[in-house]
Amino acid sequence: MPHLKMSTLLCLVVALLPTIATAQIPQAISVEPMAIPAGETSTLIVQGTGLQDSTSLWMNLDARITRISGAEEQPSLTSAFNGQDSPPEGTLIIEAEDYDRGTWGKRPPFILNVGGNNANVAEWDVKVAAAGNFVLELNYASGGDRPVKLSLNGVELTDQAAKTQTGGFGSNDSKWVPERVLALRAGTNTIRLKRTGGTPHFDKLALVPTTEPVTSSVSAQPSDRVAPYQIDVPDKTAVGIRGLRIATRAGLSNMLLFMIDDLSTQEEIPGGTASETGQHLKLPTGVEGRCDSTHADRYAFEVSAGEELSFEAVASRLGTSLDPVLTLLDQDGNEIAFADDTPGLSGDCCIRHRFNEAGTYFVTIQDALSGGSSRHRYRLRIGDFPLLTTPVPAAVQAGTRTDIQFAGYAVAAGSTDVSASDTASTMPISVRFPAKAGSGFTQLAISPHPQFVLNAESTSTVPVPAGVSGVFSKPGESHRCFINAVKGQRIVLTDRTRSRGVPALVAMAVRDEAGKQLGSVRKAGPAGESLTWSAPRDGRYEIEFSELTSRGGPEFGYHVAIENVQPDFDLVVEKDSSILPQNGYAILKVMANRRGYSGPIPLTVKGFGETPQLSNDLIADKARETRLKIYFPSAANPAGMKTGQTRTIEIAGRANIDGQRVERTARTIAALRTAIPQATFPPGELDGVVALSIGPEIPDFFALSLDGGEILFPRLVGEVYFTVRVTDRDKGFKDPVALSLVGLPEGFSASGGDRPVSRSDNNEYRFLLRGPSTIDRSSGHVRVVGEASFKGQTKEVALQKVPFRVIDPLIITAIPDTALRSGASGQLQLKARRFVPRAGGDQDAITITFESVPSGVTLPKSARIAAGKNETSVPFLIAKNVSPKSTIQLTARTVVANEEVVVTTTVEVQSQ
Amino acid sequence: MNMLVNLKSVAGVVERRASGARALASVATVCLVVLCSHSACGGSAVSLRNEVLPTLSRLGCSSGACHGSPQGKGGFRLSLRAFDPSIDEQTLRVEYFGRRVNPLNPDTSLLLRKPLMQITHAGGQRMEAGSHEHQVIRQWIAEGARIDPPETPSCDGIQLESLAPGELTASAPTQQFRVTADFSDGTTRDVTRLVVFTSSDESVATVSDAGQVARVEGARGQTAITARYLEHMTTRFVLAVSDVDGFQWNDPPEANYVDRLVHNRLRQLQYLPSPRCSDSEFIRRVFLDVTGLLPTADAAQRFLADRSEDKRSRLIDQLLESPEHAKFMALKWGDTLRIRSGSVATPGVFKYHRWLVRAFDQNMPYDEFARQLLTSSGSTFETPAASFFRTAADTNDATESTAQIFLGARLECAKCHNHPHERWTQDNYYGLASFFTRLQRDATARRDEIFISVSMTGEVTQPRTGRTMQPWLPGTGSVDVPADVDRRTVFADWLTKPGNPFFAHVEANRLWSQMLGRGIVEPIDDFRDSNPPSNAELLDALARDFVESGYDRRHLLRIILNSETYQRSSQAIPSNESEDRYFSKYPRRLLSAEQLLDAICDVSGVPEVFAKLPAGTRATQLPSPDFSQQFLKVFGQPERQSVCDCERSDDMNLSQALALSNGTYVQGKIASGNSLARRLLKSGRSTEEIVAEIYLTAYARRPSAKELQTFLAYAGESEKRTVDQAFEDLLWSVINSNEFLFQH
Repeated sequence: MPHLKMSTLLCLVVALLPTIATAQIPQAISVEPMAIPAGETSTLIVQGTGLQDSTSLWMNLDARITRISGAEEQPSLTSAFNGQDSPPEGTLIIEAEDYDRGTWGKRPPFILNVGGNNANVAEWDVKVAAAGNFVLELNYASGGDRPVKLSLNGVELTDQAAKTQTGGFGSNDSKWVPERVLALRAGTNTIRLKRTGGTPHFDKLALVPTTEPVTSSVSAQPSDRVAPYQIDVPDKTAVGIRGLRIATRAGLSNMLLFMIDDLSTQEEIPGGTASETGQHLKLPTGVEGRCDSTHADRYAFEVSAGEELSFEAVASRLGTSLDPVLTLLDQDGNEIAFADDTPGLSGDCCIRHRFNEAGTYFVTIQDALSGGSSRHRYRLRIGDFPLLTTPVPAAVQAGTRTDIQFAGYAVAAGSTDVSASDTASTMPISVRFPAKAGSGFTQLAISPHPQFVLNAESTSTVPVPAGVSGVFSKPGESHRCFINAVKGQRIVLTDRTRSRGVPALVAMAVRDEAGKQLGSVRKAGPAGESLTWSAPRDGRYEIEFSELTSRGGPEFGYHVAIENVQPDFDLVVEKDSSILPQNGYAILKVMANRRGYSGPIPLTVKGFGETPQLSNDLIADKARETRLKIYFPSAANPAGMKTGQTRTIEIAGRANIDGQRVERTARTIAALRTAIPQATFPPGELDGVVALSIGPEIPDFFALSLDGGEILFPRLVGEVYFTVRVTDRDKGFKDPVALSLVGLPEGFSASGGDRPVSRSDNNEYRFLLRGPSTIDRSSGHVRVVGEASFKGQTKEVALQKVPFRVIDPLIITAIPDTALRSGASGQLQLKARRFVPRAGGDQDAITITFESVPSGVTLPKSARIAAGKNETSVPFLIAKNVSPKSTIQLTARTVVANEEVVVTTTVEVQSQ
Repeated sequence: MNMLVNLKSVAGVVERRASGARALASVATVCLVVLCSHSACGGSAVSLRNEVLPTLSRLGCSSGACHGSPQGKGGFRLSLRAFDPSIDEQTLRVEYFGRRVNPLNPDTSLLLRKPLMQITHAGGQRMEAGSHEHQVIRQWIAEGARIDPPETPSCDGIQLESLAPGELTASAPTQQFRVTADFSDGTTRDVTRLVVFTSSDESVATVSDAGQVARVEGARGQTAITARYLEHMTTRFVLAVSDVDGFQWNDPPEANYVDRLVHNRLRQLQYLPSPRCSDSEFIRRVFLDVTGLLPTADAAQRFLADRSEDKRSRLIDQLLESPEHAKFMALKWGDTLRIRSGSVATPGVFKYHRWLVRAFDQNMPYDEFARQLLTSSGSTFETPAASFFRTAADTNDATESTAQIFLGARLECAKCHNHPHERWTQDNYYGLASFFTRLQRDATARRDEIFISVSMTGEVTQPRTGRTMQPWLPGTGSVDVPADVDRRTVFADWLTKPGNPFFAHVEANRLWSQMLGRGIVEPIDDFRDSNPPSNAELLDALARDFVESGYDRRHLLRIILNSETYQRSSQAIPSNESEDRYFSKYPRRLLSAEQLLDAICDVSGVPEVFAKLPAGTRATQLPSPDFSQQFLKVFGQPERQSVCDCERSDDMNLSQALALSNGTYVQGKIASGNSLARRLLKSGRSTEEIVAEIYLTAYARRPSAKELQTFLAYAGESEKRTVDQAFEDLLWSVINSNEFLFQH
C-alpha cells in the first residue's frame, strides 16, 4: 500500500533492566575494643550494618587477620578438682567476692544478684607470668538455667557461661564446673562475668594450666550487624591510631579508627562509674567506656606519694562523638586538675600530674557538650607514659637513621633511632619512659630533604631544600637559621606543623643581612601558612620562626619546610575508597592543584601488583581534574582478586618539569576529614591511601532515551537544543545522571548534560550542541553516555550509534487531510520546522513550489508560508488515472542567516 | 583693648550689650570682672570656632534633632554640636555661594533671620533680637564672617563652679554656676554664656541657659549639672534637700561601711530606712540573688529554726561557695558576653560557659578574669576566653563591647561623631579601636573552630580626618606600643591598674546591681558625667574595697550581702515611700525568666527537661538561649545579641499574665500526676503538712493560720472538688501571687 513518506522517526526502546543487586553496602559503626595490643592475638568485633558475610578486614598495618566464623564447639573438659586431692601446679584460685571491680552483691561465700540490679557485673584481674592456655573453672551453685556472659580482656566469649545446673542454690550445692579454655597473655588479664537474668551463686574461679587448644569462639556471632575478626599484630608495632574497613561481597565500608596500644584494657562498668566511689582501676591501664549525659564517668585509683601519672582521653582522634573533658579530684572531691581541648590533641585532652600525697584519687570523664550516647566512646589511658605532640626533628630524611627527641606534655628523656623508609610520607612512632609501661605516640614525617633541629641559640646555615624543626620551649621564644641565596632565587617556607595537629602555629619572617625584613607571615589557618620570597641579591638571609601567639612550652614543637619555588603540582583524590565491580570500573575524581606547571599530568595506580587498566588517566594541559576510571579486566585478572577482596592503592601523577621527573601522590586527607569529622588530623599514613574492593558485576540501574531518536544539527545556524531523558530508574535511585556526548566531529561541542532541567525531576537533560555554521550536510553516529553512582557503585549507560545528521535549517513535511489516492481531493497541509539561532532572528517567508507533478494531479504551482508562520495548506485533486507510487516533489526556499536555503521532499500517491 | 561698656546683669551673668566687652558679676557682690576683651577667642574679632559655633550649639541648631543630624534640615547641615568646625566653616560661609551670611547687610543674613523667625523656620524662634546669641552671630557676620586666623587660641578645658556652693534648700533654692575655659594662649576666660547646661534629673533641679540652678519645690535628691563647651564637658553634683516635718534620724544599726555611706545619704535627704527583713524574706532573697534558685523547704525550715545570731552571714558564705552561685553568675555573664551558638558555635557555647562557671567557682580575681577575656589568643575551643573577640567580630564591635563591659561607656555615637552627651570624641573612639584592630580571626581545620591571633601590622584610620590613630587611653592619652607587643596587653595593663577610674567602679556597681536590683549608677553600663551615681561615696568605697581585696568578687558580695542595707525589708515606711534611688529599702523586682521557671518547677515539683542538656539542668544554669523554650522568651530571656544589660527585658506584659494565669505550660506543671503535692499525698502526708511544704518552697515561710484555714475550708468542699484539684488550685494561686513572682 503506498503511503506518504515522513521524516524517519527513530525511537530507541530500552528493555527493562534487572535491578541493581540489593546487597547493602556495609556500614561500620563501631569496633570493640577500640584498642588492641601488639605482639598478641586479639579479637576485634566490628559492629554496623550490612556486615553479613564479611569477606575481609582491611587495616593499614601488617597483621594476620582471620575471620571468626562463629562459635565453635567447645572441647569436652573435665574438672581438675573433682576427685583430685589438689589441683595441678600453677592453678590460680580466686574467691568470687574478691572481684576487683563490680556491682555484684556479696553474700559470703557467694556473689549473687542483689536487688535486681541489671548492671550486675564483676571483673577479676588475673596476673600470669607467661602467656599460656588455662581452663577456666567456675565454682557455683545453681538450681536453674541461669547463664551469664563471660568476657576475657574486653571480648565477650559467650553468653552461656555457668549454664550447668548444680542442683540448688545453697552452699552445699556448689560444684566446680570447667567452662572453657582461655588463652591468657603475660601480665594482667581481666575476666568478667555479667548477669543476663537470674544468676547462679558464684563462690570461686580457678584457672588451671592446660595444653588443650583454644577455639576462636566469641559470643558475637557473625551477622548483618556483627563481624568478628581475630588479629595478630606483629610485636613492636608502634602504638598509635590506625584505620580499618570491612569488606563484603557488596562493597567496602567506611573507615573506622582504632588503636594499637600497649596498655591493657579494662571496660567501664556503667553502674560503677556513676557512683561517688567510682569504678576502681588498677594502673597502668586503658579503660574503654562511653559517656551518657547524666553524669561524668568516675574512676578511682591509688597512687603513692610523689608518683607522676599521665591521663589521656582518646576519643575525637578515634572518630567518636565524644568531646572529652577530664577532671582530677582528690579524696574529698576537690578538683586538682582539669583539661578540655588540650592543644594538639584534636579536641581530646590530657593531664600530667604529680601526686604529692599517697591515697585514693579520682578521674572523671564527660562530654564537653553534655552529650551522651553509644557513640560518645572513649579510651582513657592512665599510667606513667609520655604525652607527645611531635617528634623533634618532626621529619627524617628518607633512608637515614636519626636520633629522635620529642615535644609534648610529658616528654621522654631518651631518644630513638628511626630507620626511615622511602616509601611512606608519614609513620607512627611511639616511645616509653625507661622501665615504665605504656607509650606515648605521635607521627614522624619522612622527607626527601635533609632535616635540622633549631633552638633559641641556633645560628645554623641550612641548605635549600631542607626542613627545620624545634621546640618553642618558652613563651615568646624565637628560633633562627640562615640560608645562602642568589639574586632572584625564590624560596618558599611552609609550616608543616599545624597540618599534623601539633599545637604550635609558626610565624615566620625573612630578613637580609642588614636586618631589613623581606617578608613575614603571621596567621592561623586550616593548614600551615607559607611564606614565599625572592632574594634581592646574592647573600645570606636570616629566617626567624616564632609561635604566632607567643606561646611556649615543651609541647610546642614545629616543623617548617624550606624549598625553592619551582613549577609543581599537588593531587587530591575525591574519595578514599571505591568499589570496583567485576566487569565494571571504579571512578575516582582526581584534581590537580597546579603551582606554575601547566603541562599534562599522566596518572598511574600503585598497589594492584600489576598495572590495572585505566582510562581518563591524564590531566590534560592546564586542566584541573579528570575522572580516572580503573577497570577490572574481565578477560584476565592479573591481580587474582575475587569479589569481596580489598586492595590498597595510591594514585600518582608524574610530570617532567624543567627536565626533572616529578611524582606526586594524590592526597585523601579531605575525604578522610569528611568521613570522620571528629578526627581533625587523621593519621598521616592514611593520607593518600585509597581502598578498592572488588564488587559484584552490577546491572544497569537506569536507561536513556533521546527525544526524536536522532540529533539534527542545522548548518548555517550552528547550534541546536536536543533532549535526553533518564528512564527506567531502579527503585531508590533518584540522583542526577552525568550525561555526555561522545564521538562528535571535530569543532562540535555539547553542554547541558551535567545538570537536569528541573532539580525536582532529575530526568530531563537539555543539551546545547554547537558546531561550525559553514558545514556541509553530512551524517554519522555519536554516543550519549550517562554515568551515575548508586549504592556505592558507579555505572555507565550509553545510547550507542545515535544518528547524527548535519541538515539544512529547514524541514518541510506535507500531510494530506485524506489519503493521496487516485480520485481523491482535499487539502494538503504544509508544515515547516525551522531552525533558528538561540538569539532569535528573522524567520523569512517560505516559498514552496510543486515540481514533477504527475499528470492528473492538480496542485497550485506554489504555496507560501508567511514569515514567522510555520504552516499553510493547499487544495489537491488527483484524477482517477494517476498511477500509484507516482511522486510529487516539493521544493521549499527561504533565507536563513542571509543565505538562501533550498530543501526538497517528496510525497507519494498511494495505491487504492 | 579691654573695655567695660553697657552691661546688663542677668542673674549674675553679665551680657555684652555692644561689641567690645564681656564681663561677669557674682550674684552676691555684683563685682564685675572683665574676663576677655571683645570676644571669648581673644583679639578684637568674634571667633567662629570659639564663639559662633558654641552659640549655634547652645541654640540647639547643631543638635542631632536639627541641623546636626547627618542629613541636616532644610538643606542646612551643621556638624553635630560643632564637633567638626572645618565643615561648619564651609557650610556657613561658602555653601550655596555664601547665601546664609551677608556681611554687607548682616541683618538680612539667613543665619539671623531664620532663628529670629523673621522668615519661616521649621525649628521656630531660637533667639531674641538683641540677645547675646544674636549679637555674637551678627557681629561675626558684620566683621566679614571670617575664618579664625591660625593663631586663634583653642580651648584646652573648662571648669564649672558654683558661685555659692552648698546644698539647694528651701532657703537657698538657687545657685549660679560659672564656666571658665582655659585657652592655649594661657588665658582663662568666662564662657558661661557660650555653654550648654543640662541637669541629669530635672525632678530635682533645673538649670537655665545662664547657668542658674534651681531646686524643684520640695525635691530631695541629687542631680548632675553638666556644662558643655565645644568638645569639653564638665559636671558638678548638686544636692537638693528639703526639711521633712518631724524627721528624726533614728540611728539604725550599721553592719559595715556600706550602711554608713548609705545612711549618710539617707540622713542628708531625710529618708528613714525600712526595718530589717524577716528571716523568711532574707533566705528567699539571698538564695535568689546568689544562686538564682529558691531555697528548698528543708533549707528554709532549718534556717528558720536556727537561733544563732550569725546564721545570715553563715548562709551567705555557704551560698557564695556553692556551685549554684558559680552557675548563676555564669548565666549573667553569659548574657554580657553574648554566649550563643550563633556567635561562638555550639561547642564554643559549652566551652565558653564552662570557662565562666569555673572562673566563678574558683573565684577568679576580676582583673585576671578581664585580662583573660581581653588578651587571650589561640583556639576559641582550647582557650575559651579568646571567644570574647570571636563574638566581637570586628574592630568596632571589639571597641564598643570592651568599653561598655569594662568601662561602662557606650561609645557607639562616637564612631561617627563626638559623643553628644559625653566626653568621648571620635578621636577617642578610634584611638581606643587601635588596640583591637590587629586582631585576626581565622578558621582552622577543626569544624567551627576560630583561632584568635594578633598581627604586627594594621592601623586604624579616623574616617573623618583620615588620620592614622595611635592607641589612646582615657586619662593617659596616646601611647606608644612597640611593634612586636600585643596592644591588647597594654590596654589590659591600663584597665586593671588599681587606680583605673572605671574598671573597679563598673564591676562594683554591677555586683551591687545584681544584689539590689538597681545600680548605684543606673543603667549599669552607662557611666558618664551626665549620669551620676546616686551615692558616689558609696561606689568609691566599694570600688576601693574591691581593689584592695584583690578584685575578689566574692568578698565584695559578702560585704554587700551582710550589710543592713541589703537586709532591709522591701516594705516601704511612710518616710521612704517615694524613695527608689538611695536604697532605703530593698527594691522589689519580678523574678527573671530563668528564676521564675526554676521556681515554678520547684513549687510544682515537676522539673524541666531541656533538649540536648542533661536531666537536672536548671534554667538558671543554661549555657545559652539556644536551649531555651517559649516560657523563657515570654518572660524576657535575652537572645544575647548585644552586650547591653538592657537586652534582658523586665517589662511586664499581657503575655506573661496569660502564661501564668491561663497558660498550658504552668497548667501542665500544676496538673502533673507527678507534682509535689500529689507525691506528698501519695506518701500519706497530711493536708497541713503538704500546705506547709508548698509555702516553704514558694515563700520560705509557713502558712499563716488564716491561710491554712482558708485552704482547709476550700479543700473541704468535697462535693465540689477532690483534694488533688484543691492542691492544683492552691498551686495556681501561689504561682500567681506577688509574693511568689517577686523577689522581695
